[in-house]
Amino acid sequence: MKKTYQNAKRLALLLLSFLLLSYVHGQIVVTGTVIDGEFGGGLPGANVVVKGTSTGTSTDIDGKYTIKVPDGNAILVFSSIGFASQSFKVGDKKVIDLTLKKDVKQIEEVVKVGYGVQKKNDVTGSVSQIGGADISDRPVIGVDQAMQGKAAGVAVTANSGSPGAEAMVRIRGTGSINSSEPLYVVDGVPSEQAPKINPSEIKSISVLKDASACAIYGSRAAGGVILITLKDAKMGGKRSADCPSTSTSEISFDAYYGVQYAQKLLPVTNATEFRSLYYKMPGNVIPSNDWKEDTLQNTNWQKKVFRPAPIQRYTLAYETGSDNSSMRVSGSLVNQQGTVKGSDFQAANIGGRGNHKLKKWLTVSEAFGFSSEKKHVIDQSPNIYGGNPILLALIMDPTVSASHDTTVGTYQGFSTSFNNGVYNKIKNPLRVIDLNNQTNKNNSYSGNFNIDIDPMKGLNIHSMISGYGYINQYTNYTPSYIQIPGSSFNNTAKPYYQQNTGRGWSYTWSNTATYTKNFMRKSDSTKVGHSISLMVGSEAYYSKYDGVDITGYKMNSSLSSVYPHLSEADSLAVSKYNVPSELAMRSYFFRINYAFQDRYLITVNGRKDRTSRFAPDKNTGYFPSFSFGWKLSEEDFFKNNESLKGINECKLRFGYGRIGNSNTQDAQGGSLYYPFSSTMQNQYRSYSFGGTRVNGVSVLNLPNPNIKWETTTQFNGGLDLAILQNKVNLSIDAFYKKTFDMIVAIPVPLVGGGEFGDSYSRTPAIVSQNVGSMTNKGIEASISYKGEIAMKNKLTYELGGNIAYIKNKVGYIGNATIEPPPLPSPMGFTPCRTQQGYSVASFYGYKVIGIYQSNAELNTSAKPLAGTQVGDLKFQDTDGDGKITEKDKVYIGSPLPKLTYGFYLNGNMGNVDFNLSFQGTYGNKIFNATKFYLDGTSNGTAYNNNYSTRRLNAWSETNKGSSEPRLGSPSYDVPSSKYVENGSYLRIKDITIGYTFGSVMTKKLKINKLRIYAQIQNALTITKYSGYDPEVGQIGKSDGSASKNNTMIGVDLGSYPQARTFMGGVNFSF
Amino acid sequence: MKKYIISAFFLSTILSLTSCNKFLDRQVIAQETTDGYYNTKENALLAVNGVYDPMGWGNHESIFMQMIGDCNSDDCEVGGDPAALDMGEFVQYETYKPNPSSFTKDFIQNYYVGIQRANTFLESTTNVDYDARRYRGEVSFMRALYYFDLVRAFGPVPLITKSGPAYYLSGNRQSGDDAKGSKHIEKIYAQIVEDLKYAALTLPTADKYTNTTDKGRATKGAAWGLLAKVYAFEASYCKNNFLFLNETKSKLWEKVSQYADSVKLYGGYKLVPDYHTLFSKADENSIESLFEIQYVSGSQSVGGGNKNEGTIKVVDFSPRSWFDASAATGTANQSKWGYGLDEPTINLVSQFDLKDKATGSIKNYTVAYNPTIPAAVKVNGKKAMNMWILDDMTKNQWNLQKDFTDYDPRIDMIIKPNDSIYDYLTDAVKPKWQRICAFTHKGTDLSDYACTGFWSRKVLDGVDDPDNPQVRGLNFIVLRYADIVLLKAEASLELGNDGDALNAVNEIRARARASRWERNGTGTGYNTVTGTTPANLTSVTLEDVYKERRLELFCEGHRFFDIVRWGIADQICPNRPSEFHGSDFKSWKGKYSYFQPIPPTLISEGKGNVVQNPGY
Repeated sequence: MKKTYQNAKRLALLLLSFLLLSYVHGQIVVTGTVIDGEFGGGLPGANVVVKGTSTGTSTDIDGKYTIKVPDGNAILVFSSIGFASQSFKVGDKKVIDLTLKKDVKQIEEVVKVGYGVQKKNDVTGSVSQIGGADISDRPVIGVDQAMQGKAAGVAVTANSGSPGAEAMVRIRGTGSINSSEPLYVVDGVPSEQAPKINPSEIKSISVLKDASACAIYGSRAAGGVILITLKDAKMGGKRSADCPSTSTSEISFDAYYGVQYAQKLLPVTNATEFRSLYYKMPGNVIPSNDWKEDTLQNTNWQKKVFRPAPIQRYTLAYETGSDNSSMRVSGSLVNQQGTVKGSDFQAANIGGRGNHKLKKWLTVSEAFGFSSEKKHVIDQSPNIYGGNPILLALIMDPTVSASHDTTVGTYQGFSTSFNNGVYNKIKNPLRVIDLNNQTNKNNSYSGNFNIDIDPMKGLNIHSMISGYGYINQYTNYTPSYIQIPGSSFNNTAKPYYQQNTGRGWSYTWSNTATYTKNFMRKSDSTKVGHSISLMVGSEAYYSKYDGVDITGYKMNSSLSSVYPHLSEADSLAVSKYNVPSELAMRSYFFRINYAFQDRYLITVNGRKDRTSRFAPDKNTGYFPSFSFGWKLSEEDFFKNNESLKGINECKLRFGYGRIGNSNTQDAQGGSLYYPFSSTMQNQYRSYSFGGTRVNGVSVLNLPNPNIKWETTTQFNGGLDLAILQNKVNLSIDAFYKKTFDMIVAIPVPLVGGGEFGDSYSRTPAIVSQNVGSMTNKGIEASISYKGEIAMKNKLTYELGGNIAYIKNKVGYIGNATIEPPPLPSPMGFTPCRTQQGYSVASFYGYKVIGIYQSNAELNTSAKPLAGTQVGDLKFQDTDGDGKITEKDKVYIGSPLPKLTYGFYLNGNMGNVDFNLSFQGTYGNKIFNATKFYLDGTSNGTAYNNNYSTRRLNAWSETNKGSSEPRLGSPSYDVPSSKYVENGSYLRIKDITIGYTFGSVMTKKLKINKLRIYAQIQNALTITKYSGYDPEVGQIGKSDGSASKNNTMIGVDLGSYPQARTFMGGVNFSF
Repeated sequence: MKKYIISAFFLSTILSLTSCNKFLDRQVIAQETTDGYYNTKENALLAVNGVYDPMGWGNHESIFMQMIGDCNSDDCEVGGDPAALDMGEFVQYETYKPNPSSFTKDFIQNYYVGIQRANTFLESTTNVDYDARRYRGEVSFMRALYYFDLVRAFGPVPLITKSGPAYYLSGNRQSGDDAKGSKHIEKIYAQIVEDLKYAALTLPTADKYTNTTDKGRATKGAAWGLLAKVYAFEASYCKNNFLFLNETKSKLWEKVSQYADSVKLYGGYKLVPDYHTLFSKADENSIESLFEIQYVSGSQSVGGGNKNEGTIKVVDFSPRSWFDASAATGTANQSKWGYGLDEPTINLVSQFDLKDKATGSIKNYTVAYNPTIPAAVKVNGKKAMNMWILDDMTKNQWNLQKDFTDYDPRIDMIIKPNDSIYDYLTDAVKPKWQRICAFTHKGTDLSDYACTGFWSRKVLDGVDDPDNPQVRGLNFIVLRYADIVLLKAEASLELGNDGDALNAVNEIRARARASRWERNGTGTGYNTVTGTTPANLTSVTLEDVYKERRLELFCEGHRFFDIVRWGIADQICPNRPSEFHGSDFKSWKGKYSYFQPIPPTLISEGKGNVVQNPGY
């Protein structure tokens, strides 16, 4: 059969030759095999052209070719994308086998795009590539951190410095008030969750930013797409032209160890200062039993809470490759303590991949991964009554002793000198830490199986089935304890134990067929005239979640504190809310790439998605995109223009596309899987006939049968430049992105019969509706320069950076403002507001215009808020009605940065390599809510907490120049610009210096590579922000995670700061 | 060849991948959905219960109706904290300057939750395999009751009788359902009547409900009674040229009379012997009660609403603060506190024919607003309480038996300063109530808060421990037989059947006289003794009926709606003798004040189809 085909092909060629090339005569037939210099084996699809003619052919699936040349003087030019072209004079040879070597430069320029790869030169959308070295040589725990500062327009903000915490990743801004997280695609498997993988196993990350690049992922891509390619072994091992068919294996071992430190402590008053301020604070009750000077404690609570924390990771990998098969398996262990006591993270990852070339035209590959994570988290909710030790350490009375009796569990509350019951409202941070037993565990397993069929030249059929499953468990054991006798925080009842378990699994089945064909130019047969590539595909996705939340009360066994188990509980309560859900999606998609003479590039993508999330008549979405590239540098007028000689490459790109988002949310911000369907609810719907409570039922949620996708359209324009012999690469993009049909939770009209939900909090009934819009526009640029300096050991270096400007604007959101729930009592105000015409989650409050210096000023100014005195903050009477009211609140800043940037310098000199990278933001504001306690009233009646040292400079009759309001001022009881601080920062993200041992030594030791390195992460942060860390993301929750609420960000009420880490590591392979 | 076959196979899967549509058909799992839910009778009953549920919600819902009914009339005033006015919204209502915000919105929203549940039920049970008539009757009754409260309070509210997204998605309202003005009010009444007639047809009489868990369900009698009441409103409005201008008022009065007779003859209702026990736990769902909101105590929470089956009326209507009986003398413990709303006025107290022992004549306490309260009775610079009645009562207990030779015994349901009536209570509770009485009277060192000195015992069941008034289980009577009897009297007079009217009024008065409480000799309890005055009437006028309604039904949320329909609100309301709110009652705007303003949210959501009531 195969032979018949070959013969037919030859016959066709022969015919063609006669028809088209009839003037050629006296021919020599040359045959041979072109060998893939990278992977070994025949290289299919390589072009073989007789130089100076239009005679050409290309290799078949086995890399074989046959060509007729006029005579022995003919020169054959062998070329293939990604390989360096080679010329070969035929001479008297009839068989020419040739190994095409990988074109190092070009290989790097191949980027991953959705369901395929593309030459970077040919990419018409906006795609950022983060190379493997950026990641694998940088010891980070999470994928998100690995991307920080590395790609223009990809903003990564740590929500928390807690080990294992997820960061907020925004590609080209916040696209919606709903989920704006990117889609992660790991080796072709899409997932909305950041993958739990060892970052050092990542080969490369490709970030699809604009709609034309993302549209192939359709309704899941509105937040951008992050394509992650994991390392795999190469078939043929290290085989090269000079050493063919040697099967090789390698074992590599990477390890690092470091110690993390809090970057800084905040200046709060010491015991003496606190005491003096306490006495001056108006309204404070002077204790009858005064502090005794000799017993006065001076506890630095921050030092009690923060600690140097070790971090370590060990990765062991084995890879092997033979002619037709390759495999890589790796495992890693990480153990990280948090800089805040009570937080830590342990994980084990095991993963592997294999590729097997069963036939020349058939390859199968498979991958599996298992990850087990366990972390202890601290409560990070902004709640004084909760247990965030970071906040509590700031505000804990420094005159209280830190000593405590762990056996009895007694901790000092506030000074017992004030034994009137109000001071122990604040929990002792050490008690919070010692009693904290919140644990998050996650076990996840994933795998995929791929079949690749290449039945003929240019055609690839790919099919992948992947599965993913996980079990999450959150447990919290609350023991019996006392803080001080009589404290309302004591739990004298028996311990209770909460265990929330969720499990889910999903599968994705995707299939693609890609056909690529190049048509050579008539004028110059070494060059491609038309190039067309067509990909069609389909995908099915299904996921299911199920969970149960159980609380056991009265844990009996004394072992419970060591290993609490629900079987030890007297009674169990099962929550109703963790209900099962399913999601199914089915999609079809296609891509056409067309290039004309390598100058005009057109890409058309389209995807049709159907989801189970919407009603059958609303569940179909079409997500088309179109992009166009023009390689100016390939044009004759460009080439012939002397003044443009320095420009090696110049490409203009334009793109337009639509992408979608289907993440509907319920009133609590959770994912809503059946927004078109209503469920019946019996809880809290009872009625008491004749004194007996009987159950009742009504619908729980009002459904919206009309709900459909959020759609984002995006225009992108870009310019890619390579100048100075490709040493400088510059890329600039401008985009305009608009989300419409944005899903907004609209309160049900008064007469709509909106149920209050099942919560007792009387949250107004809402129905998610497609009414909103939001725009983001921006410019981003990245530049790199590769240089070398000749010296004894040649110094090669690369210098680069990226910067992005983004402006977010909220459009119509249903005739309303969106205010997230207020900060917990006693604050009770909402610092953020989302309103049409402003950027999302802007800070909203009074504008401070000074301090009332005198009674005269107080009386002649606009009537201030009740209780205002001389020495209090003066707010602007914005509406000019002569009094300060709610109406005078204005927008006082945005948490969104105007600019995000990163830049780096790395290089090699002999055996030494180094890297220096910076990262930062500009123009964002932070709402420093800790000021409520540290600078606020604190007048003894309620929350007599420690103060910031700013209070020492408080305004007084004798200190009129101060910008800090008087002691006891209620000015901080309302949100104002006094809270809002400049959140811009520049951070030295890491400094690395490495040494690779020379070949003499490695050869002696019979090893392949040995490198040692030292690194400092977060070495220096330059910022005006007065809090711990200017990296403030989404607000924390009591289970240590971050709220995914996009309408409240940048509010710091004790957020977990990033650590400064000193570490050393080794990369070793043999 | 194999590779082409395999290729073809894979290529075809790309195009045909899971083309089965079931793959995408994912429905809610592990939870009941509306689909098919009503197909079983058991489920339907649960859904019926759900329709009653909002009526019992504890926060401000039924309280709102009672507050308007009592405090917007001369019966009650809103007390509480005169400075902070934490229940200021009710003061605004009371002084006819309503500014609808949270309570009104909650009230309307919650009632429409009930209506939406009813609509859903009625739509879902039109074609079911079981006999759903009784259930549909109950639900129809509840829908009528929700609308009757809404239309009495607000006038032309949207009339929504269907469920579905059109009614709850924004910008989707059906224009026909909202309308403006009096015609729309009449349309709402027509719907109420239709629902009640259906209910009357399908519901059983009270005695047919034999299960204890059916006590308190809507009955045939309740439907008849409510029909009588609804027609009484229509007839009165018609009589006073306010609404129903095209109706014949005598026909409407005949309907009132006819349905009142049905209640009497076929409903099986009668007056309970003792007026006072009506408002106790013991007499819940009594033979006199046509319909009451069912509560049970024991719920812990106050704020939530739909979670609780108890009512927080008690805390809302309790004294603003009082001494904790167990606390040391002189130590204020304001943790035991209520809001101090709905306080009977001296004007109301004076209606009970108090025959002064000294003068032998009926004592009429009158009070005029006195902005200059003596400094002595100010506490912390705030007006402490109603001091002007103290002249008579400062020195001794306000002992009815001692001070008056005769009076209407129904006054016992008002807690008075130093009221001795609490002697009957158990030793555990008695001192606390006595303390409340003492404190409300002699507030000089106690209260920062305004109060008239009187409290309605109809809500404050004296058996309860006042230290813990938060959530109580005392039912609230919406409709009782005495109301129907008096409606019958009213209709009879309007129709010229004076004899029937006289009988009806005397039936009420006779029961009242049989209900006096007196301390017993030992001081450990009380006796019910027969009163002597007032005697039976020998003839009856409309004014007599109006007064009888006031004496019988005070502090049950009726008075304001009655004086509006009687057309006498314009004389009474602006001239109310005020104890706290001074000349504020002058804000009365005649017929514009008959209805409360419609919340702006409701108007904006109506997109032009809902308009504000005139005058606001």
